[in-house]
Amino acid sequence: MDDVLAKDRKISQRLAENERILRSLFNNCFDITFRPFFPSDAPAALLVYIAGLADTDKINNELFRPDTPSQWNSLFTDIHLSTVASSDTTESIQEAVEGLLQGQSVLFMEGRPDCYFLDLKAKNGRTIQEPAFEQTIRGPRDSFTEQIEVNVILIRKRIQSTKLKLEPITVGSISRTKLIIVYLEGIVDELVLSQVKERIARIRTTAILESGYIEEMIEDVSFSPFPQMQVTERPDIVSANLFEGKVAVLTDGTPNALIVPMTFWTTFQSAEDYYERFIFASLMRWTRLILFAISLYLPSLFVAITTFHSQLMPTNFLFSLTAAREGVPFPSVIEALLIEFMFEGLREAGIRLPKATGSAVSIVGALVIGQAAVQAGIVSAPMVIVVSMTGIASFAIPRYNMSIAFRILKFPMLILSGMFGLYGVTMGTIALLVHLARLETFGVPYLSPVSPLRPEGIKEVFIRPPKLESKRFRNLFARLRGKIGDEA
Amino acid sequence: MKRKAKKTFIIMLIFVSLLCGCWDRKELNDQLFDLAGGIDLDREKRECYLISAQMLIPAKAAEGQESSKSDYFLETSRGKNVYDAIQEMQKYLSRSMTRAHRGNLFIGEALARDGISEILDSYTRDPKSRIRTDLWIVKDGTALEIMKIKYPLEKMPAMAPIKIHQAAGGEVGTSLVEYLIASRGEGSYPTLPVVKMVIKPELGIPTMTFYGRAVFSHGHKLLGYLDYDESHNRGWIVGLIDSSVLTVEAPGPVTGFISNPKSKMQTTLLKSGSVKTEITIKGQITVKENDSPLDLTDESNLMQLQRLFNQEINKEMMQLIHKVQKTLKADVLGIGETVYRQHPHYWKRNRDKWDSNFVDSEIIIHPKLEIKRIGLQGSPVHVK
Repeated sequence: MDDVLAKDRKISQRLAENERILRSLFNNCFDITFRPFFPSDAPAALLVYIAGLADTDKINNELFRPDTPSQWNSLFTDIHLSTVASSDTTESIQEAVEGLLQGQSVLFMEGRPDCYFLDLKAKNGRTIQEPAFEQTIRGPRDSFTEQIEVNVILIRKRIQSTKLKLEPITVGSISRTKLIIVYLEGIVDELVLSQVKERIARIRTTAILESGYIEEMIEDVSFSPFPQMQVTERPDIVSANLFEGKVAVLTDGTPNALIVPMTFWTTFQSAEDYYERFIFASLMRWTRLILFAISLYLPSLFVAITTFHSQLMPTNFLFSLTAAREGVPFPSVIEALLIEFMFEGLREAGIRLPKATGSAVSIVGALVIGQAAVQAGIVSAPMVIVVSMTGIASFAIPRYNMSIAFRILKFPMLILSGMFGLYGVTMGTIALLVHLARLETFGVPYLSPVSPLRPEGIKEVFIRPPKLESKRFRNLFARLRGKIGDEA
Repeated sequence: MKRKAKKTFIIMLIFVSLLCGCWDRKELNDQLFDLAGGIDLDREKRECYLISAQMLIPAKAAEGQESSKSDYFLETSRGKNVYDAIQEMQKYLSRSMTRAHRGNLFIGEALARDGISEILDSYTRDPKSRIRTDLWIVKDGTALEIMKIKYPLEKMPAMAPIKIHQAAGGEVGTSLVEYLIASRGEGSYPTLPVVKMVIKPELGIPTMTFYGRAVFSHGHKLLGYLDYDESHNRGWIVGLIDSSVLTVEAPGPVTGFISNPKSKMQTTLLKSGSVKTEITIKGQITVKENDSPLDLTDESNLMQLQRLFNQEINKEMMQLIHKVQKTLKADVLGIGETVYRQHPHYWKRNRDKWDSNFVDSEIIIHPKLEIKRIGLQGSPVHVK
């Protein structure tokens, strides 16, 4: 009802009327502040702002900065206002209200059919801190904050070009959350960009509180464990992806940016790959590929081989395994599920618990599960090793949302292997591949460039190719040396 | 409609998997790993097989080195054939026997002379047996005797002959496969490694040794044995060994270690209709011990020693060839195979006559050993 009231309303020339409308709209909102002024020989004025969103200090120091009482009269002229803060006018009550809610200060004057917006927003919020999830040894240490303005600056600082486009769009009928679609003009994949814009424009919801809301609303396939958008808190990752022609979506109020489209193989690329020497980076990429396979397959392969295909094991390995399994009451697959479940529990508890009690969980986990359960003969030591290795492997995947996918898929794989052995694992893998091959994100096949095969892209999948600029520097260096030699 | 069909299909699929009931799932602690087996002819009842098996006791293995008790136990049973005997043995065992890890199968001499074709059939037909098994013939004894020996170094005593064979430079895990290949090969006779129980008088406890190779007829019956050196030299000709040791009198013994042993076989057809085979023996000698007065830094001495080595290998090879041709009358050197490759037309016509042709064929050895290294010293310490 309030919206209807505001929508067709124009700003009245009478100050009292404006105040009445605003007061009724902001009924029961204690943080709205009305500051009326009555200069002696100028029309009366009313400054409205939301305390906390607008910077009260700035308003007091900059807007009301009369050096002499005679200047009071020119206080609210266009010239003065534009020197104070970037200012705009509107005649619509609704726009005025929106401005207020975004943190603008709104100035009404007696006898004028419009109001001024004064951009005197308060800068409250977290300062730029080190990334919490995506840490690297080498590379920038700044990460996004909850303030979208700051996040934009972090990207803009890295790409100082007019080609960097930042298109704002507001989503959420009540939360009015600001999104910014970031891309590099000329480099961006136009198809993806238009898709992103179209899908975001189609969103009909009351509230967007995190980028995850957007992700779910614009992704292609919801019923998939696989993330179709990369989530990052690092501005350098966003910038690098922009140069690859991808589109980033920043959401106000969250330090997580979305990058679309995400393909399967980018899972194995870490930001650091591009900062470290390429040989090491390629090696690490392979390590990750292997660890990925371990995180998905190790428990199921272990169960399948020990219970269905014991002939596949080397004989001496079998000696140790049979000895360790002696007296364990549960079948291998139940044992594996049990420890995996406990491990997931530990992991969940570790995230939830405050830091002070977090260490208690790890002690209990290590002692109870690792030591006591084995000694009591409830589970076998090799199974604990297998599950821990799987856990470690899943932590090595640079994308958290992808490692979640593998954590989930591990369980059906385990059950299949417990039922059908390697045959079940093979069937599970085929089903997984069928799903992956069918998946598309924003028109890009999920498994590209491997399937469909794109030879020029496949290089990036398995190694981190050198940037090959060094040749130029070497020539430069040779020339410099030659010059020095001539002078000598 | 389509969705419903899909759903029904998936549910049916799940039911199928639950209903079939033929899961192969078997936990490790429900299985009994039979790591070595022995097969003998039962002396009392002639048509009966006596099989023995060494089984791992998992709980014992867990205790590690401190445990003084053995990690295995023996079980025997009788049956009309191998599988029958295995089923009989299962009656005495609380866990199901898994033969997939059986690396060794010992065959008593009596059974080997009687013929091993039934064992081979059981081994090649039953997928639960391992094709990469070493079959051993027990010389002058029964498989059970070998199975009873306590060998201190290996967890399972029956694993010992593999390791001994391996340490002596032979290939392991392939004797069954090679037997099968040779028994189907052109003109060649199959062989199997031989193990022998010995009681050293100074120690008084039984132990086992890798003796050599047993030669089988086309009917899978034992013909005779090649001893350690003979089978080693045969391995040299066939290309199965990776090193050898040779000692000559120069005067005073000189021992050389031969690396890179190689051989090349060339067959020529003679007008008389028989085959002449020339075998070139190559290798690189490293002198390991020189107890002769020869100073090896002197080239003439070195050449003399090299000649001696070549004479020695020639002598040994000729002994082997004589035994193979005249005593065993079996082509275990792969000459028939070479003739088949080098003269296929001749082979086609004379394949059936090869066994008799081989016995009378001329075989010449061309030893071409070279001394490559004389060790760290020039002249021996006892020579001024």
